[in-house]
Amino acid sequence: MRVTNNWLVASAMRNLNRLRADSTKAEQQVSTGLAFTKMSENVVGGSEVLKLQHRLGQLDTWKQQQNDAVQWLQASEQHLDDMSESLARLKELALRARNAATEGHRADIATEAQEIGNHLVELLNARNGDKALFGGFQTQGAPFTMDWSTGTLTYGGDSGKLMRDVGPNTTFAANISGDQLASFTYQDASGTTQTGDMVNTVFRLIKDMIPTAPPAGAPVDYPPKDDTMDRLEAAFNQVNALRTQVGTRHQRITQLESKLEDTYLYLESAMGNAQGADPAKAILELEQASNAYKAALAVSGRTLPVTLADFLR
Amino acid sequence: MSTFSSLNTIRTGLFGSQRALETVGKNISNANVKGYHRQEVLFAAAEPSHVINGIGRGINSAQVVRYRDEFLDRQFRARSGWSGYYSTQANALSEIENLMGDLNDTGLKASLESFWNSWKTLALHPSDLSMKQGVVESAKTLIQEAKITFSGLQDLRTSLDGQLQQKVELVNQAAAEIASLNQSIQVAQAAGQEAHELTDRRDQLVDSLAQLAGASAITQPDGTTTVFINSMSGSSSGAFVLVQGNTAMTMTATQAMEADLDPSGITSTTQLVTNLTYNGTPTPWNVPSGEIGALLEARDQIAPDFMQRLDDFVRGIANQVNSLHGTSVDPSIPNIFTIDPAGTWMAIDVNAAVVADPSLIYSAGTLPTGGPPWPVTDNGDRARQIGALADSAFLTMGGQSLTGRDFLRGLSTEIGFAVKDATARAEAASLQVDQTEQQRASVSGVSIDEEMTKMIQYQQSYNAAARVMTAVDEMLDILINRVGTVGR
Repeated sequence: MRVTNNWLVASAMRNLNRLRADSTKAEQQVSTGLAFTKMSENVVGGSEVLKLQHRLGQLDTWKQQQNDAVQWLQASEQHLDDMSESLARLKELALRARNAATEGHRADIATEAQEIGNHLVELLNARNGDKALFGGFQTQGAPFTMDWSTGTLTYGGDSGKLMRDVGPNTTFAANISGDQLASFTYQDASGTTQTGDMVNTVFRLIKDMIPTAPPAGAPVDYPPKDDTMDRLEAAFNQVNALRTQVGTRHQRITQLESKLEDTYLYLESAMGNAQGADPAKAILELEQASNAYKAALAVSGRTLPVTLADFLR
Repeated sequence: MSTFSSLNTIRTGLFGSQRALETVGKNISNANVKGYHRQEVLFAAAEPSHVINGIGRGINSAQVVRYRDEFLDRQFRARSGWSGYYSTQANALSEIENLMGDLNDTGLKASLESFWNSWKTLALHPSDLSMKQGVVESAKTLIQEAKITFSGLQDLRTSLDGQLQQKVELVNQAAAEIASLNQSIQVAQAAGQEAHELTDRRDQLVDSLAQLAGASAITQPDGTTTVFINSMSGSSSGAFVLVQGNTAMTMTATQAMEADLDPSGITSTTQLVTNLTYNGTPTPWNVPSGEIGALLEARDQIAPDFMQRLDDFVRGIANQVNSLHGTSVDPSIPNIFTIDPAGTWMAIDVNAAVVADPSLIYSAGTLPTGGPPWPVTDNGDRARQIGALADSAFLTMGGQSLTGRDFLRGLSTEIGFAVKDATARAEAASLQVDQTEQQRASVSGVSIDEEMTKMIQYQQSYNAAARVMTAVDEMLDILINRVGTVGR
């Protein structure tokens, strides 16, 4: 082959350019810590990175929904706990009223029952932040209004379920609506199923115990009706059942939370694997590339400047 | 043979060496000139004179040859046509990659995500005006980002068009110069002169035409060269003559409406693009190779294709959101997006009424019983449904159903593959060009060492000839001045 000067120059240039590009790439990997920064450098990896980004984004929105649902469920759980305790106390009062020695005692018991009744109405109208806890979709104002003179409890809310997407294909209602709470079924003395509500039961109980209230001709040791006890029991069970429901949901979300946390860690590390450069490898490559570049420079520096002209006298 | 005739013989040797040294000088001074082909004086022993005993009459140095390999030239041109094509295409695609293929979680991808998230957040607080405001803002950002990307593509087309105009101008200039060189070379050859420098220049111009438009050339017996450009019109391909003899055709770049180039009939009166015509013929022709080929393809096919799909993307999302929150659900629910029914690219916006009054957004799952203002409720089922569109595959691309995010990922992946492919091809083509160029340099390039060696060789032969001439001179001196002087 005939080696000409242009040939030498072009070949040296080409090699230097190629080696320089190699070393720049290695340099970039070391300084950014990323194996690639453009889709075209690694299409499959880049597509994977986009997928992982999307999944990480999804986790964030699930997290947001979970937090909101947990807030609702915690508040519901706490207020249902309170209700359950109050109803337990009422049951106790009812039993004591049965055995109360005097009407005076019963009147005392009735006063306490009245207070518990007020407290129950307060609990029913409890709020989660600025929203009514048990109002369904109707979260403005108080969902329940109690008229103690007639003993009627009116529910102004609806049966709306606040649905939250807390995980992949997992949707929960974050709330218990008032209609679930206020009404329940029980069996009366004759064994027929009746519908009652918690507060009216309390009202009945109080009415049963207040001395002025007993119907004409009733004996002095007028006990609460058996029916009332049944209703009280049913209300208690209802509240506890709902509490269990809420608790179960809460627990499920806690499980999901920890699972998502694991997924998050996994995705982060997958992201590192997909786009991150292996520092040791990158530095070695940089070293290699810069050595090759230096060698090429040295060779070109030796061969290019020499011609026969240097040796002519 | 006479003593005087040997003087003449030696003179041819002296002149020959001188001419060879001149050529060595020319080669050395042009060693780095692009397109220069090394020259060499070809010596031949002069025919003997039959009058004088058939003894030779020195040398003939009539011919100066120019080293070139026609096969390599042809190969170089074909390869540099493809190299020009792929490197231009890779550049255009890289621009698109910068617009649509970034790996960071920013731009269109991020704004799509925050659009869906704003609905999901609204679902948590369905009657909160600030959340509705958030939905409106994120919808505006989504449209804006899409339009920024779109106008980036539009700018790219405009710049491709500008480049095309320049390249066409270069083609015309080169063609005109080749035509005039053809004429000069023809005249010189007819007069029996060498026209190596003119031919070098002409070859260089043909090389540049090869890179610009994939041109090829054939040298005619009369010394002129005919330049062709391959063309494709639909499925039929052929070649048209760009330069023949001393005539050059002209390409003109005229401007046409975008609608003329876009078969799908989507119109945009604001976009002017250039249509190519050949020698005044308005039929659009296509150059399949060279930089012009790549520019035409990028401007008329690749960029519009991405613009179309970006439009599909925004239109798909707007339609889907409107189908859940718009007049088609209930006449009293306003559309979130206004969509130009004529189908103009990117004529989609956030409904001005909703922008002016975000409280018009209706988050509840149940249908409203009256018009706005909407009753306060915590029912966010509609907002939840719209937020859930994030994971719903309602867009289609290439017959596949995709979510918005996957659609964008598909575009990124596609452009990534295209850039990778074009870059690899451009690199391969340029490597081939380099190799051919090296082979050409091996044949036609100047080697200083070789020229130096020849310089020594011709210097020595010049010295020797001069020495012989001195000897003959001394012989003549003896003959003229010393003969016949006996007895003086």
